[in-house]
Amino acid sequence: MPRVLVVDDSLIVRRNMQKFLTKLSFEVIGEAKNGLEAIEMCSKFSPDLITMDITMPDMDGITAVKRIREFDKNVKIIMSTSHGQEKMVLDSIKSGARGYMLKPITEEKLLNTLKKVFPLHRFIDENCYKYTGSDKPIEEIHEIDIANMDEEKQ
Amino acid sequence: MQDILKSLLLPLRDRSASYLENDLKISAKKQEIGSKVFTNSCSIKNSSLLATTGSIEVYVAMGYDGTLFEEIVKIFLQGDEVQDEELVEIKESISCELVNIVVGNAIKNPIDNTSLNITPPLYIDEMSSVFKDKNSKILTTKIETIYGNIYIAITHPFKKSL
Repeated sequence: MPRVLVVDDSLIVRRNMQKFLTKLSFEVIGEAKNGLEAIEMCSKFSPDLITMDITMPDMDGITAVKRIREFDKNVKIIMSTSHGQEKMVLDSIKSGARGYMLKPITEEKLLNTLKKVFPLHRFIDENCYKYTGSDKPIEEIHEIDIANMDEEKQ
Repeated sequence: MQDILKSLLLPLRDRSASYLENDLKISAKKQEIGSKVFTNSCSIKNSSLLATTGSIEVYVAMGYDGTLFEEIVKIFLQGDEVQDEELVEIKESISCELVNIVVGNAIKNPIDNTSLNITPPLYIDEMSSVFKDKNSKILTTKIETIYGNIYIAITHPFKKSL
């Protein structure tokens, strides 16, 4: 099961992000409120995925991603922010992020972004929980395919 | 100067209304923009504040009537039950996240269309606690819903009150 670090200074965003990710069978291994905490937790827990807010106190998300990339080249990072400006998107990608989500974050938006960041993986549709591409029972697929997502490296 | 504030406030009002209607499914009616000096007697609660940085520096605050804010909190919590001690912090974070979403989504320099950065939001509870300087140009607007109003205020930095 992919292990995720959720980084956002907003309690309600961390809470709802954790809920959405858990529903998609990701394991949220920690939460951080700013870039500094994110670097520390990433170094300690080596997550497979980080969802990273950009505007945060103490250290912003783009700076944190640059620092994380100095010691972890593999972790997938998805930025989340209320800013939709092109420059912000480009800065995020240049700093080493793989994806970008514009707030407000919904389950559908998160799933669509995850599909782009993990293109080889197959996801269960979060709305109807109907899996496409296999005849296996939903529960079985949920266990097998989602659990192996992190092993299918791009 | 007032024209710039108005040009900044209009898209914030429009985004607030569209966010209410499209994301929160609450019907919204936009009101005109006016100027106002907040006093302790005009109580606008559940407020949060942030600043823009870059080519234009302004403060933006958004506050809510109680019933509307409770409705929004309910939507954010999606039916989850929350302990009282955590609920206070969650409500503050929802107020902050709302101003963050609206301003982050909508704000840009109206003169040259360049982007403006925003600071992390700060929960201030009562809008008059910072928006009460008689010497400042403060523009306000509101959006009406069946649960109550959202109030938005914008002004240039004023050191005396902050």
